[in-house]
Amino acid sequence: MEPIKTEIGKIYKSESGRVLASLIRILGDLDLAEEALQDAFYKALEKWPKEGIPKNPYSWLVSAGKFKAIDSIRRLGRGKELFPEKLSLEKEDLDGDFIDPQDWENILIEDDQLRLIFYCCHPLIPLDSRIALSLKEVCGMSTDEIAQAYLVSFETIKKRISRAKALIKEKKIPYEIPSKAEVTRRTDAVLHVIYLIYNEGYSASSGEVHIRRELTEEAIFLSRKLVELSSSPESLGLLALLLLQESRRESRVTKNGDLIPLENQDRSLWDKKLIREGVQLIQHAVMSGRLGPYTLQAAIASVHTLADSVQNTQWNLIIGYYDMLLTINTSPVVELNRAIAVGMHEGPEAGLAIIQRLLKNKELDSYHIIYSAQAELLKRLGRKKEAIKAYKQALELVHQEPEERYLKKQLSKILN
Amino acid sequence: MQFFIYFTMTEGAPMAPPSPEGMAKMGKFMEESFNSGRIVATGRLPREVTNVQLDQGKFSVSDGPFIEGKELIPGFTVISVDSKQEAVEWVKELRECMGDGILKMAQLSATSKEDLKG
Repeated sequence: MEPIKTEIGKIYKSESGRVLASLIRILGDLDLAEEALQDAFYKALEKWPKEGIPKNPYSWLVSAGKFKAIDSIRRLGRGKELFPEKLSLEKEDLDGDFIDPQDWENILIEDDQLRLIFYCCHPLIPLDSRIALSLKEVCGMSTDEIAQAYLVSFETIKKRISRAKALIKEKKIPYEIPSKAEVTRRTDAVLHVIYLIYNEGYSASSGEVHIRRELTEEAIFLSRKLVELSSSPESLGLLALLLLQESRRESRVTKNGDLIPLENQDRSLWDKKLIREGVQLIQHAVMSGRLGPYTLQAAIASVHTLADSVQNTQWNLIIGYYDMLLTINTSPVVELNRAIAVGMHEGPEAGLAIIQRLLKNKELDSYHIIYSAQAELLKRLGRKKEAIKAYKQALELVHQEPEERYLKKQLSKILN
Repeated sequence: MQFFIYFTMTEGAPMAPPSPEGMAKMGKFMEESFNSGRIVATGRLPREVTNVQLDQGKFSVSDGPFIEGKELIPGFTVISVDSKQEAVEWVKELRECMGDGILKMAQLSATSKEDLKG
């Protein structure tokens, strides 16, 4: 591909979310904004190779999208129906000469992204549709990618998205950041979706790449904005969790994209600044009273980031946090993670006993991690044949290439 | 009367994670103190602050460090109590949740809306 096209591709990845969020505000219609976004990029592909990339691609794309949309509204004679008054909301409306117009623009863009996620996570939209719509609109994932991430069919995701869009129209859901009193009530849904966005980016559930930077960055950005809006214990806890996970990012994969397990990670690569901020946020969250699942998960992550090796990790603290997490909500995945910690603290047999019980209850029997954890513990106990069987079961269920390569490597190590 | 309660940490020094038991106790204690109205606010002080400066009619806004030096204030609480003794008792209870270490308290001499009514 020509270098300029690669460059435009990169700009698409980094700017399309912000451009879309602003176009929805300006045009007042989700479908119209999506179309305008596509049109704007077509225009960019046509113009930029000749004229060069503009200094501020975001502004260029927003105005290109806006003009294209106005054009098609006029052409279709749908002016009365779709021409929103909001079209006039421009910089000149924003009074005060104290703030630099560039700053204003930045504030507006940032607010647009927050507006967009509250819009997509409105309580009137069912949870599965909220998630699908947010991943599509906030993160720019394709319907196909979302379907793969959630192991459901393309049609199912398409339905969820169109149901959400229909509800937005039907219930006239406003494109706005809710008032302070409302924010508290609606934060949980937003936190949940931000958490899922981050996880999808941190450990993409399918495909060739393990970490998708655009998604992790977007999630952290949104999480920060949410903390600015309301410092509820769990918004602080979520931001702490994301920052602590993020601090280890550089050490988790090799240059070729292979996974590096925790015990082999180069801890000097862990980002100390992010760790410090994360740990402080946990303190703040705890001091705000009421402990929630994000804060507890952050506390678990903090124990790892503060240890100098797997052996010197305070596994007893980690087990304690998992126990607290289980008192808030029982989840087999949490129990599995606790089993892994127990395996480190009390020995492989104790961990294995929990995993066998979970498998017996058949709750996680299609989750590859339970088999790879089982294999790991069996290997440590020298039960080679059973470990091989468990690795093979994990391999049958894994959907993600780097994880598959990692499991294959472990299997071939044990076979030789 | 109000007290500003805080602890410090040195930049670069790792902060030990709180024990799960302490964390649970502290969460409960803080929630109770919020509900009883004793806590006015709680939070953390950022490393960076924004300076708004007026110089001969011209404003400038810039970012700078909050405090020079290596001490950080990762957590603070403002409480409203009737006596210094009550504040000390409250702080003891909080420190117990956190484990060994120092908590500092300073009485705030602040003027509030209520004071202006008098």
